[in-house]
Amino acid sequence: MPLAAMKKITKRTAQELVAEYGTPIDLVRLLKDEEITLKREDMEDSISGMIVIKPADTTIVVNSSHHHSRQRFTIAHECGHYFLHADSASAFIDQSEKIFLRDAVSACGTQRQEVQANWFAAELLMPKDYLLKKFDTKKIDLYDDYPLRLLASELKVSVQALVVRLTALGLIPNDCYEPHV
Amino acid sequence: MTAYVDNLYRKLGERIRQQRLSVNMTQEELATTIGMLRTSIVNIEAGRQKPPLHVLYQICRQLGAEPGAMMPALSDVNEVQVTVAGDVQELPPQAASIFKKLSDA
Repeated sequence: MPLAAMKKITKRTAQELVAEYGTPIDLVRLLKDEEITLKREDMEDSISGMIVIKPADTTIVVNSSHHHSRQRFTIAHECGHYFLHADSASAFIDQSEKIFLRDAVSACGTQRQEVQANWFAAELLMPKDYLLKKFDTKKIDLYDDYPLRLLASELKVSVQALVVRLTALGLIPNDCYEPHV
Repeated sequence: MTAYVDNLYRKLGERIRQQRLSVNMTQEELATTIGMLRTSIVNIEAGRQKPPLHVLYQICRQLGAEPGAMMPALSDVNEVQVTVAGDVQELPPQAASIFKKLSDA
């Protein structure tokens, strides 16, 4: 599937859920409605989570030793597999160092699914429209991290995830991190 | 534990094979020099046969390698192979056991 089409489908699927479950997204209610069991387990640090999809019994496992906001990102990521990829496979395991910072163009097959699940998670947790309304670069001093921290805690995401998202959406210009000389 | 042991011998076998190829020796030649059958070398390299320490030393001597240098790293051995939706993936042991429990349930 062309990347643009993939993006569009990802965004629409996530937006529908955002409309239903709000911002910050109520993941507990979403999982309950889909009858997905959530388990928090102690796992090696490199594993952020996994999902096993069965017709009447789907389970998401997240790494209990990871920070709460990261666990939310993982749950959202696994939901991406659930809503977008359940036809192609019944299980996904997410090894953290292999998911992040991959670019979609060079990725293929299962890697693409990981990238897509990340897009999905980003839109679910940090909806574009919400950010556009909330985040006015003209009014916010990007060197003051307070507004970023405030917005991150409101969305229950890490500041890091938020900055990545804002940059991807073009809301933080690339040159704004150039050091002042 | 069995997955760990299998994994250890598979990794060791891979390293023996790599070393043998790097010194341009055939399985047959290696087998002959240490008085074993070629099939034993085939099986050791595939991780199906577990060579005793003295056999490993004999193999290393023929391959011109220090036994210590042939040992797989701990981090390599700790990985466990699991089949995730038809796809073989390597996982650390805790995650592998959680996944296996879930998918077998």
